Formats: sequence, C-alpha cells, structure tokens
Amino acid sequence: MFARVVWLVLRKDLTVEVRSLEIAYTTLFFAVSCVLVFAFALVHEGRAPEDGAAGILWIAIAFAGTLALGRTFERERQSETLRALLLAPAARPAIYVGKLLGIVTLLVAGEMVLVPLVALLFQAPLLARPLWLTAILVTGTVGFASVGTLFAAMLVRARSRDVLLPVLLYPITVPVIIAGVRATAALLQPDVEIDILRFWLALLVCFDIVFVTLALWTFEPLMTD
Amino acid sequence: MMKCTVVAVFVIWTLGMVGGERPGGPALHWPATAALHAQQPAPQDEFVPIDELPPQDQLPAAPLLVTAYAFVVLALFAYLLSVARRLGGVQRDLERLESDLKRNGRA
Amino acid sequence: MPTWFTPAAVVCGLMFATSPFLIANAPYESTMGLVQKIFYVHLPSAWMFLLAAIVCGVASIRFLFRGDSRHDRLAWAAAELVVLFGLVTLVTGPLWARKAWGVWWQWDVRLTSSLIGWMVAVAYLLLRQYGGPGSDKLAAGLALFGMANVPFIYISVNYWRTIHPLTSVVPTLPTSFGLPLWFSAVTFFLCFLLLLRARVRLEEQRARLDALYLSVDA
Repeated sequence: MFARVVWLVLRKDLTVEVRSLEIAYTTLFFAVSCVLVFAFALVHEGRAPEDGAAGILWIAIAFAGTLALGRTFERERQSETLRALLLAPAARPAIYVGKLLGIVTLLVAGEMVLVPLVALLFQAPLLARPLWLTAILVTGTVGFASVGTLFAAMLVRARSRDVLLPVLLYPITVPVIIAGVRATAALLQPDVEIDILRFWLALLVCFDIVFVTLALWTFEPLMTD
Repeated sequence: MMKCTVVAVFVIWTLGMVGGERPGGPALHWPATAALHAQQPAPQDEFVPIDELPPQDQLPAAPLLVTAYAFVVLALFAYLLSVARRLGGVQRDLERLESDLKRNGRA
Repeated sequence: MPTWFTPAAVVCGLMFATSPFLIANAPYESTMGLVQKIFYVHLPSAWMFLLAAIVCGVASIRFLFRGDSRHDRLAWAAAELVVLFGLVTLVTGPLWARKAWGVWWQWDVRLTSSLIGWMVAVAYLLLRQYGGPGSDKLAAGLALFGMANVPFIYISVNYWRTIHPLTSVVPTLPTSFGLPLWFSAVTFFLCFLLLLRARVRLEEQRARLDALYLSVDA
C-alpha cells in the first residue's frame, strides 16, 4: 500500500512534468548559468582553480535544487493539489516519499547535464570513475532533497515562502554539501584514496538515513493544521 | 514504531561512527591541511599562570580586550532594552483593549 | 513576573559589577597575556549559547508532538537567546583569536559548527517573524532538524584541522583562573534565566492580547 501510494505520487509528478518540461528546462538553464558565472568569476588566465570543479558542481546543484523545490510546490499550491493529496486516504509519509523521489529524479536528470559541463569547463576528470561519482551524486542529492522536500512542503502555506526556503534549507544541508564536495574532490585527485572516499560516502548515507527518517516522522505533525 | 526506528537508526549510526573512526584516524587528513597545521601554533592543553609579563606584549591586546568586554555589555544591554520595549508596547495595548472593553461592555 | 525575578536581577547586576575586579586579579596566562582575559566572557557565553540551543530544541520537540503553546513560547525565547549568546561568542572569539592565533577566523570544527548552528537560529527567528500564520509549527520542525544536524556538522567539519584549544583545558585550570571563570559562568547563567523569563513573559502577554482581540470579534 505504501509503495503503491509512492508510485502513484511519483507517476503523477513525472507525468505533469514531462508534459510541459517547464521546471526541468528552467532549472537546468539556471544551473548552467550558475556554472558559467563561476567560470567567469574564478577562471584566471585560462586556468580553473584547483578543487574548484567539485565545489562549483555542488553549489550549482544546491541552487538549482532550491529553485526546483520552490517551483514544484508552487505548482502544487496554485492548483490546490497539495490539499487534495493530504485529504486523500493515503499515508502522509508515503506522499512525502513520492514527492521526494520526484524531486530526486528531476535533480539527477539535471546533474547528468551538469557533470559533463563542469568536467569540460574546469578540465576535471569527473567522468573517470562513473560508479563512485554516481554513488556520491545520488546520496548527496537524496540528502539535500530529503530536507528540501520537507521544508518546501511545510512552507507552502507560509508567507515569504520563496526567500524562506533557502534561508531555512542551506544551514541544515551544509554537512551534505561539505561531504559531497569533499567526496567529489577526493575523486578528482590523481591518486584516489579509497578510505577518504568511503568515509565521506558513509557520512552521506548516514545523513540520508537519519534525515529521511526524521522527515517521515515529522511530516504528519508539520502538515496538519 | 516510528520512534523505535529513529532510536535504532541513531544507535546504529553512533556505533558506526565511533567504530569507523578508530581505523580511519590520521589517514584521513589531507597532506595540504597537515602542512597548514604545521604552520600554526600547536593546540594548547594547559594554561600556565605567570605574574610578570614583558610590557611589549600588553599594549596591542588592550583594544581587543576592551572591545570584547564592551561588546558583551552592549549586546546584553541592547537585548534587555529590546525585550523591555516590546513588553511595554504589549502591556499598553493590553491595557487599552481592556479599558475599551470595560467601557463598551464585554460581548 | 515571578517573585524571584527582581532579587535575581539585583544579584545578577551586582555580580556583573564585581566580576571585572575578580578577572583583573586573575593571573596572566603565559603565552597570551592580557588578551586571554577575554576567556572569562567567551567561555560562559559559549556555554549559554549551547544551553539555549538545547532548551530550544527540547521545547520545539515537545511543542511539535504535544501542541502545548507554552513550549512554543519557550522555544522562541530560547532561540532569541541562542542568537544573542551566539553573537557574543562569535565576536569575542575572533577578537581573542586575532592576538592569540594571528588570524580573525579559521574554518575549524568548533568555529564552523558554531557559525552554522547560529545561522539555523537566525533562520528560526526569520521564519517566526516573516512566515505568517502556522510558522510556529514550521519553526519547531526547523529547530528539530537543526538539533539533529549538530553531530553531522561536527563530524563533517572535524576532518579539517583544528587549532581551537581542546576542551580538556577547563578541568586542568588552577583555582586562580577557575574562580573568576566560575563566577563569570554563574553570572551569565543568572542573566540567561532572567532574559529567558522576561522573553517568555513577552510571549505570554502577546498570547493574552491575541486571545482578547479574538474574544472581542466573537
């Protein structure tokens, strides 16, 4: 039952998104612009700063993610579908997981464009170890999106929700960004130290578990009035 | 059930972190940060009191010390004033409302 | 205001007035000299910063799962004190560091985690102020996540080198340093209790005002 609700919510989100591709295109373009701004700001005499690629990639993901979260729930608010979702005889945590997976799908799709772009612009061997990179990106995105989905959902009926989402989200997701950047930077070293990589990946996984569990626990009291 | 899950996750996580830290240890420090650390004074373990101090060490510290203490006093005082002001405002509103209600008779 | 408030305020004021004498009479520390005296306000305010954060977190959890607005009032008051004492800590620290370490700021564990924790508290206050109706529950959720975040911040930043003095310092302090420190700590703690009580009272009065307005419209 839980899995069925998750799948229904996810399918609904993906169907709506695929029809217009509004959020996908705008968020992706914003992320690309972000990366370009960093490129213009930081590249000096044709050379990118060391370790720059990892940081810039994750900043672009964080900014684009915030935008995507805001837009997704704005769409829900405008068509009043969030209220309909909450009125439905479905477990609230299942609705949360469905929305989370939708956001993660959107962000991962964006990352598939961002990663080659960053690798190209900053001459970083990001695609050298694709499995590790995928693990880092997926765990980091899930961590960021887990907190983001909860906050964006609970801010839907608040005032100043557009500016409050980043204000609330960034201090909480700093450890995810730190871990993501450190893991990606470790991956970009000429001789990769697997221990360091494993440590940051383990931290990301722990973060994901703890925060998804916390979000499932608090989604109910936070979404009721 | 949810609470048990959360508690279980926290316990497992803590054990994992504690257990994982011991073999990890120094191998996880970056060479760059190790070099950075070598340039900075070592972390201090104990304070040792002495009574006399060469005078040239004292002067540059005084403005920092004075600024620090002044900031503490000002910050605490400013907050106290802020609370007092807000409280006074609310008190006035309450009194005004209560006197209005008394005059017009409570609904 | 409760009966203990005014006597406690007087005692606190007296302690604040006498503490400079105790601090001035404490001996100089060997490597840092005069500037080390900032320690007597930096450490107690750091303790109050952490205490306020714990109070806010616990009160937020209780409010989120029980719905009693008394806990919400306490949480909001504690969050303001987190911002206040956090600001004092984050300003006195660098002032001390400038002389002791030669730099204003370092991205080590304790400083970075404190800064992030402080920012979560500021975010809490912004949410309460500008979030509109319903922001009490949302802020409680934020406080809960902020509290759960602390070990992660600590661990993730911990693998960058630290030059902050170790916590093992405090128990090793000789009495001549310990006395002004504990005196200062008690003073700050009294101050914390007084400010907390005053701030909670503000919320209580606001709640009374709201209830009164609502009863007029009914």
